[in-house]
Amino acid sequence: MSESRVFEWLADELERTTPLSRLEARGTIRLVLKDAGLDASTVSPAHLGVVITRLMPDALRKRKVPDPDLLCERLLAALRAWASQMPALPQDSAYDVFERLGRSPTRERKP
Amino acid sequence: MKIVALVCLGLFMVSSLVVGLRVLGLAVRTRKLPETLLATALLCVGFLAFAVGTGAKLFIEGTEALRRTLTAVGLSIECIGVLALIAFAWRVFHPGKRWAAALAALLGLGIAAALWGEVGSGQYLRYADSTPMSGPWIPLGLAARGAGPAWMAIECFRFHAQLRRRARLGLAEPFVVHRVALWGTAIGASALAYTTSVVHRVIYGTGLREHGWALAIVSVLAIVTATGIALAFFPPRAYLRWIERRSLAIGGDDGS
Repeated sequence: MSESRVFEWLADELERTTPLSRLEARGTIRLVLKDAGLDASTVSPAHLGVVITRLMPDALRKRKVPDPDLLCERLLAALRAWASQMPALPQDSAYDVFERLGRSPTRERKP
Repeated sequence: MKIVALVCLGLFMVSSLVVGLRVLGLAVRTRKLPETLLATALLCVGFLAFAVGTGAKLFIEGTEALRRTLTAVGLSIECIGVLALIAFAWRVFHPGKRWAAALAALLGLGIAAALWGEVGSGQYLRYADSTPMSGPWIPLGLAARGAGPAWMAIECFRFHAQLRRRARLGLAEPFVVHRVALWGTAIGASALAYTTSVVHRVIYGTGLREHGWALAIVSVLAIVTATGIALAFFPPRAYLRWIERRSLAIGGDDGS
């Protein structure tokens, strides 16, 4: 199964900035994504940002990574910078479809 | 019991028609494939197939040629609807995944083969009369068509479990989480109705209408499906307010 570009980016960053090996970094992200109900192949930068803020510090603390809170703040800033340079890919996830199916066919969605 | 069953079937058909037309309207506006597939499934399986099939059973007794034609047309419409449902499950839940494309193709081939067998053997007429079936084609056809909703229900419940975890982080709207659960329940009840039909055919050889208990089971399942579809895609304001209050009370987790 192929992972999303943002997953690959975060795995590289974790491997580079922590004592975690490549396998440990990828495994950590996968477990955290699973806890959040997200999938490595479809996760978006916005969702990953929430995961880094809310779940990643505890996950890194459990793996004895030093100063996980500061690390996650830096990761979040780096993610925002990375995402702003990436062209947004048009996505139509299962969530988007079920969200749309609740809309009225005659009314436009409020911004 | 037959009158109760007819009322339940009527409610199921009406909810499928109303929601199907609403989703069709959405498909016209958005020009997206999932909406088109879902509208096709709801209108074909939930309304048109039953309308044509019931017509074949009730209104043209004695006109053999028309009965044959209507039964075959009703069955074909049902197959088109289930194929749309299978395509929806593939394209929405697993786009780009080979195993899902292979499963969708396998289920589609199964439906086509079963339809060929049912029509070729003449057994399709057993859907429109009370004569016991012979041969394997009818249970095979029902099982092949029931596999579509079964796959969809499994995907919905799996996705719902994911969405509940997302909702705790504020990454999913409670309304969407409930919609997935309701659609999964509705389509799961439809799969159970197909299962009931297969079991009944294997034991007795005839259609469900020959036994009150079988009619009672499918009537309950029809009501569950109708209610699930209506609440998922046409939720009343009071229901939406209830979801909102419940979500706020338990702090982000939709709790469904």
